[in-house]
Formats: sequence, structure tokens, C-alpha cells
Amino acid sequence: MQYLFVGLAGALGASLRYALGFLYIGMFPMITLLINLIGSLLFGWLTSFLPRVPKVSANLATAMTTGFLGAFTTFSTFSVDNVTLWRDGHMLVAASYIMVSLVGGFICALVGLRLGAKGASV
Amino acid sequence: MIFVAIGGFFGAICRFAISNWVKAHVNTVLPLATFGINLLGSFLLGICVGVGPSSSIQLLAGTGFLGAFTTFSTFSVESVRLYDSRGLLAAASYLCISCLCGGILAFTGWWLAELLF
Repeated sequence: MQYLFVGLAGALGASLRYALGFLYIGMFPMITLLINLIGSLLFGWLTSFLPRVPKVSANLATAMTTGFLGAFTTFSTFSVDNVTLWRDGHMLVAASYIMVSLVGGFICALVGLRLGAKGASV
Repeated sequence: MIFVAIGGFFGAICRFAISNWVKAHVNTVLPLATFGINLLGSFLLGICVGVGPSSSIQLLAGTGFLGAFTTFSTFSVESVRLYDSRGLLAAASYLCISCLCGGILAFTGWWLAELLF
């Protein structure tokens, strides 16, 4: 049953990622970057916050984080984007995309986790 | 859209199943499941892009399945957990090794696909 929840949430997350991809056409993978940063922030926040909310079942929490946000954000596109940029000779763009994704993702997840932990003590 | 949703459904389930299996069988603080999933997914998406299949297959297998199979949010949260338990060097290593290996594998998959198809 839990697998079904994760799958359905994953279908939603992937569809939303696909839909947002139509918003922007350009060399810099801005949409993937924003999706990954926002997803990291929300994942951090929900992971530390949801287990303390009695109304949210473990199934629902897993569906929202592992299912929805896990499928909404993506690593494979990030890797292929970097290869594409590198192949086309946009080294500086690739380097900045990598830096902002890794450092930004880390900071977003950190802020999310700490916010969620704080919310519990309020 | 329906292709992406179907792919996403199975991609998320596969990721969840592998993570659960690794949690049950491998006793480590290192985020090995996500690491392996992200690298495998990068390699396969490289192949997918290199082969350049029809747009519906591309959406099903690439955007849907592999996009949902691999994940960036869990990856970021795990790097923070590593930072909390093992320090900044461990977290930075995880981020950099994942990124570097993911790129190399995506490139290799792409290159293999162009070679063979």
C-alpha cells in the first residue's frame, strides 16, 4: 500500500516537473535548478516537521517526501545537463550550474531541516 | 503528460524499493542507496539522450522514469545529515563525488549510445 502511495505521488511530482519545463527555453537549465533547490528546501523541512504532526500518517509523509519531492527533483537531468553544456563548450555555465546546484541544494536542505526542527519546539 | 506520469509512478516506486532493500541489508551511515540510484540513473539517461528515441519513449523512460528514479532533494538532505554526523568534509565529498561520477557516467552512456546506435 505504501508503495502505491509513493508511486502516485511520484507520478504527480514528475508531471509537475515536466509541466514547469515548458516555462523557460534557454541555455542555462534554470527550471531544473529551481526545482532542485525548492525541492531540497521542502524535503528538509517536511522530513523534520511531518513526523511530529499527529494528523499525518507515516504513509502520507513518505508519499509527500520520498514520492512527490523525490520524483519532482531529479539528479539524472542535472548530470546530462552538465554533459550537454560541457560538450557545447559552455564550461563556465556548467561550472556555475554545478556550484549553485550543490551549494544551494545543501543550504536549502539545511535551512529546511532546521526550520522543521524549530517548528516542533514552538 | 500521461507518459511522464506513468514513468514517474514506476521510477519513484523503484527508488523506494531499492532504498528500503539497502536499509534492510546494508548497515552504514553512508547514503549508498541514493548514491547508486543517482549514478545508475545518470548513466541510463545518458544512453537515452544518445539513442534519441521517439518523443513518447523519451518522456516515459527519460523525463518520467529516470527523472523520478533519481532525486536531488534526498541527495541534498543526506549531505546535510552527513555534515551533522561526519562534518563538512564528508558532506562536500558526497556532493562532489556524486556530481563528478554522475557527469562521467552520463557522458559514458551518451558516448556508448552514439557508438552503438
